[in-house]
Amino acid sequence: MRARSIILIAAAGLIAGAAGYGFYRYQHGGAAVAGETLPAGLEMSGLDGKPHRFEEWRGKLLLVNFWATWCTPCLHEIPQLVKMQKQYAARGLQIVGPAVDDPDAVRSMQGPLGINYPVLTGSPDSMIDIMEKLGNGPGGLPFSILVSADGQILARQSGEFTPAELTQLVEAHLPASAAP
Amino acid sequence: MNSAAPDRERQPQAVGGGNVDRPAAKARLRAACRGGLRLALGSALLLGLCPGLVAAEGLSLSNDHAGGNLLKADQAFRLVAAERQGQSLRISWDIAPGYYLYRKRISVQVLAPAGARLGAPELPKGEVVHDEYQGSAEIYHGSLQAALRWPADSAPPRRLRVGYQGCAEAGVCYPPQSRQIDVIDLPQ
Repeated sequence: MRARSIILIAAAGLIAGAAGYGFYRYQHGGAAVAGETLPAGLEMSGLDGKPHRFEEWRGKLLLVNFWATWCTPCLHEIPQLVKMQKQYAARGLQIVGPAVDDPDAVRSMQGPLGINYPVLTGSPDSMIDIMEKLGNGPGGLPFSILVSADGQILARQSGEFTPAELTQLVEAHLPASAAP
Repeated sequence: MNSAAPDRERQPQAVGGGNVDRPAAKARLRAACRGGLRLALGSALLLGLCPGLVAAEGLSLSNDHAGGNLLKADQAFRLVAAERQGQSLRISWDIAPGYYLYRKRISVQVLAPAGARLGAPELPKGEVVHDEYQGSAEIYHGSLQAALRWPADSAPPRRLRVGYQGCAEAGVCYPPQSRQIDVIDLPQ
């Protein structure tokens, strides 16, 4: 009777702990979402007007970073994304930066920011709709998602990544064999 | 937990009483044990849940920069009303705590009646912030009112398009907002 009670209590504690941790992961913006696939067919335009879909980068670890020229935290974050793209491209990281902004404003900032990855644009409504489909209900920027080579959403982030957070996240999902 | 507490309170009487009949004492002891088990179970549940909940709460605070508790733009920057009294028009916003609007991104256009004109919004002095990318900017927290006037030879505005843009202190900015609003006539 006593042993059964102890087992019961221990099991209840474990279940409660797991529930608490699950809630913690759920709350965290960068939480992994098991089994959630990147929605197909989300179409945006390059700055040259050509249409693009995220499926083009299937096979790479894809970091999608929504930004805008009017978004100061976005502008702060971009230099570290540029650095990450340069450092991890050979290991299979591809960053893509959809801009919730006017294409001319984006063009004017692309050079000064030294953006070394594809920048996409679209009408404000369509970009907000795409972000909502990707899990950004409030519509705030910057907003990033990390997508595995086979199209699974691995993490979401609203607000800037710290350099350490971003490095840890990318390192955790890139093959360890090749040196950066 | 409520049912455990009375049992625990009765425990000293059951165990420490000298002149009590044994069956009754055993029954009280069994009840005390059951209460103790319930207490232990409750504690185990709390101990299990607490780390997760505390961590979640901790993250939801930083989650304002990570996204968990962000308000939608209409909740963060509530366009309250456009009210006309005589020759003056006032537009007001309620800005949620932890959010702010940029002065330079506030704009007002007349939609109706056709041909009506409106001067630039007169805004109070805001808090000046500096940024390496955007330079200096004035921002507003709390409640904000913009005053507007129109030329004497123009009809009073009836319907407006109001533009504004702001951010959360937590490090997230919202796309420019554009809302159409009817002007309410107040008695003079």
